[in-house]
Amino acid sequence: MPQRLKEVDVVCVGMGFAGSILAKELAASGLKVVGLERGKDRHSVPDFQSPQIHDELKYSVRKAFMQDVHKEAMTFRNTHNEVALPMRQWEGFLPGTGLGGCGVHWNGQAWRYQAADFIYKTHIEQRYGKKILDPDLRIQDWGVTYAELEPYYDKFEYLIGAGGKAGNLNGKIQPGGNPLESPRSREYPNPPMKEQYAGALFRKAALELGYHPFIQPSANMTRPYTNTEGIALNPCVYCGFCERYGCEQFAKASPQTVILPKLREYSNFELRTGAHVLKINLDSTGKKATGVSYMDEQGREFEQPASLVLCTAFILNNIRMLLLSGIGKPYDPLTEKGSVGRNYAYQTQSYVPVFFDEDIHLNSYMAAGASGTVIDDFSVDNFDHSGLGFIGGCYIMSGSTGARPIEFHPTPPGTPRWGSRWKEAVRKHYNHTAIFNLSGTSTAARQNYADLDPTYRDAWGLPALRITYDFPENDVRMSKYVTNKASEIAHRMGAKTVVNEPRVRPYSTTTYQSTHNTGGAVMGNDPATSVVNRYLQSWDVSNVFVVGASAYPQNSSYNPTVTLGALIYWTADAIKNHYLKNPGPLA
Amino acid sequence: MTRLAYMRNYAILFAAITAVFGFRLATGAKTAIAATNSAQVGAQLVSAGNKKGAIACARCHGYDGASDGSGAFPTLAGQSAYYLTAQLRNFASGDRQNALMSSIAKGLTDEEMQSVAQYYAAARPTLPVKRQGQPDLVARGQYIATEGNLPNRVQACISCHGPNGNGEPPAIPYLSGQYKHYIQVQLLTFKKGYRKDVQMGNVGHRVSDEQAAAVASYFDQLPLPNNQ
Amino acid sequence: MSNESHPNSRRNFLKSGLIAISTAALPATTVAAAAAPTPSPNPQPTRFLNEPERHFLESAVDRLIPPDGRWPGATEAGVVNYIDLQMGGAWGKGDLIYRHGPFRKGSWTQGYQLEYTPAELFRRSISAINASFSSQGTTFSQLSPTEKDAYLAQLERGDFDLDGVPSDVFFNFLWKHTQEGFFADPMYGGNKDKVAWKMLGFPGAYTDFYELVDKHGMEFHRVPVGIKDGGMHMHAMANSRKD
Repeated sequence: MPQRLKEVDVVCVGMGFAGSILAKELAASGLKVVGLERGKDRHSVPDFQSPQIHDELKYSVRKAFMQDVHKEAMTFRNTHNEVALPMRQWEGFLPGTGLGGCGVHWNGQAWRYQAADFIYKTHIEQRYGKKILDPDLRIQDWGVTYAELEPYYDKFEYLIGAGGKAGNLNGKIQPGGNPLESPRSREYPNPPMKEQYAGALFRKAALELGYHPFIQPSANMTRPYTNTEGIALNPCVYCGFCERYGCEQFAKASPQTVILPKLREYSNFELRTGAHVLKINLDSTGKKATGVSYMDEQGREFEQPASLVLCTAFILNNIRMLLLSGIGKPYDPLTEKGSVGRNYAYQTQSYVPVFFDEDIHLNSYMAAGASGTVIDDFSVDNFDHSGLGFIGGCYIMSGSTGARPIEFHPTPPGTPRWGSRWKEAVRKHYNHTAIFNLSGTSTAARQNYADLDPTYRDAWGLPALRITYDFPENDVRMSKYVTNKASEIAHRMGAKTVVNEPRVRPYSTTTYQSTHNTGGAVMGNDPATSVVNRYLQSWDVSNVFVVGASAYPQNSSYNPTVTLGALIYWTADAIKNHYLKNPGPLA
Repeated sequence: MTRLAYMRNYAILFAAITAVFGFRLATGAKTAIAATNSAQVGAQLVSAGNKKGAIACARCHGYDGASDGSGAFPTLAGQSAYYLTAQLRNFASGDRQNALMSSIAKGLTDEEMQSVAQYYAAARPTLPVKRQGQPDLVARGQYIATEGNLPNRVQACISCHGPNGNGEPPAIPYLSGQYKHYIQVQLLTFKKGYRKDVQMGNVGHRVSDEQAAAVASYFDQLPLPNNQ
Repeated sequence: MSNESHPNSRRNFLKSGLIAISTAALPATTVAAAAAPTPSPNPQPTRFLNEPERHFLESAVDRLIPPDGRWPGATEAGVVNYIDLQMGGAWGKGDLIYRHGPFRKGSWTQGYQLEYTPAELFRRSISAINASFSSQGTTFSQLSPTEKDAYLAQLERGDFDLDGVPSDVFFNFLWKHTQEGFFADPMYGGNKDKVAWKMLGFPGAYTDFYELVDKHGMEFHRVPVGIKDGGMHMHAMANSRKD
């Protein structure tokens, strides 16, 4: 018999960036808030200290900060016609766990989306007409505009101490920044990162080809910074152990370094770790949540009643939580009825390995998570797609985020896969090879979605999330085009060997590409094609908000986190200023 | 005897040793210094200074870089040449302010700076000294040095200063075996901005006097690094 | 600064006069007498592998990453020790793998779907390999290098079924573990004396590069440092809750 706990005002399911910031905003408003995190409590000291954190085997290869796949996996198939099987080891993407969530082990690449992204359907159809769209694509407008979100982008960037140079200040293009970005109201709180050698070589070539290189915006501190919550962060030391790892320097923006110390000061906030939420409970009408049920590490079940439930468990777990709780109608790809699980998308990554002579010492292990020199000339709709036969694009980045040897030891084409010649090639090329990273749009398509698996279950007996996904043909054509452009830059850099590696089908979960899964509980103005409204409030259960990249109707070229940061503050304002005064549907 | 007086005696004694036994013995026979022009320039400056305001380094830092043991002057023995050169440049430019060193550094050309830096990078103390600290303070210092301090948002010293505080050459100096008093004063100097450094200025602001004393005690009682 | 903390201070040195000078004249021996850093563990006692398995692996991994004139190969670097420790630990046991059935063959994009834990996969496969050689009165290690390479290539292509394990699955596992053992921190039993890191020029676990990241083209040579170097490093056992 589950133990019923005392009712609170708010319960957060998952304590990453979303849960932590929302908890703080609402606790500061005087509400009684409980934050439930299924993983462990952890702190910069001692949990993220080096040298022990700089353990590639433990954190990169054995995925120490990731969800316990022994207990719960997700299943995957490329198409609806196949049988989905469990991803028995995490490789293709890496859902995290633990206090702070992905904010602990992300790289800190701190991009905004473009104004066109938020009205993508309207924008594309107006510019090119509907016929540019392949019949399987399902792009949508978000229901919120960039202009509405701009002040919240600003707020999040000042929370995390983002480092960069503004390229467009209130419509005026600024030298040194990204001239193609959408307008921002003020400068970044911190200056840009230092430029690596691989970035400087790229910059020169990109300029010669008429592009507009700039330093990638970063959430690794570029100088000592005290943020908007009065919490102090230290400068990044370019240690080369960023993604997959916690930061020993208090330099990477994570919930631990930007918000949790402040949140913990509130006596009306309570954190419970080791609390695995099983589902959101609904009343007999099915239209109102009464709270959540969770299990602790001893296997005891609890019921936590709450007036407001914030589902902040990461995009994949958000979708699953709605499905397990019976909130909203599951999506059927054949009839296209139902919205939960619909518009699942990803990030279309590709690479261009660039091999130099041995006199070019790149020292790629000297790196921050967000190091890099980038061009935005081929992202989203920043270039004219007329006659090209696809929509979308990638930003192109040169630099490195580390050169950790188990996973990074590139060899040029023609090198045997193992043996003496392989070994010699590894030795010869390790410090003289750059790898361009292309991060691309992922266009929603009717056949890509998430639902519950009929066969496989987790250790708590609940159905696993099933992902059905392959790259839409549009995205493959896009990747081919932009990767070619990247290769041209590489040749211009005077490289000895350039390897053109566009993204091709089928999508595989066997090697890592990105953890920028998006969608499945998308936001919008039409309940038929969205799960939450423009305030990330469930259409079906108005005291449930679902805050994550699950809200994205499709994915842009850029890393999703800062845009989520803006949406978190946007939702917080909607709850504080409107919902709490008058609980009920806000749209 | 005052510190200054016995420093002078020390300097005289070493001059005597040098005169009698020759240069190599005075520095310890273990580490031979390469017979290049730069090495000779360095040795010359260390023992006699130059006519442009640089007094002989050995007067305060000793021939073996171990200085006088008081902690007023840092141990330089085996310190990274890159780092020592950077400090001399900083003294000359004003990024690092020190009543004695600023005028000395201004009297050195960049080549001379590199020469004396290389001299001390190769130096080893003639008298191995294992100092002890107050156990409680050392233990506290060890914790902060190896794990950091959460309330002050301070990372472990060794995350930058290397295992046992042996340094991360070339840019980051060793702390192991450095004088306690000197470390404490430097943390204060960073805090007050008399020494400009983005990372250490920030650490200096964060670390309390008690924490500074603790980490200084910890590093003071460690042996000097086994330079590779 | 008090004298109590400096029992061998300069003052005492000066007072001892000639004797001290003689001492100074002796070749310095333990100047800068630091305790030698605790070498990273490379335990020899076997945790998992039996003799025939070890024998096979030592020969096989030394073809995957062979010794050359300058740099050791996988076996000398301790890769077999690494594999032994891994197979005998949580990873080998399958604690980091989803092990619920049903087990079905899938497409390559769906990844590993066999019911075997890593330890079971190794044991089963190597047992089948060794059996196939012993049935011909020989062992893998007795082949010439060229013959070994040819056999490994056959495994890699999936030419054999190793008692239920497709040989390419086994080969990929073996190759993955060989690379891990070669390149990981030495505290895991491989990368002995950090030879792999020295070969690459990878600095290891201590990495503050604030000053150097933008010194473009700088040749950076530093002896690599591992996590356990230093020996005096203290790991806090309890979380500090004073966030």
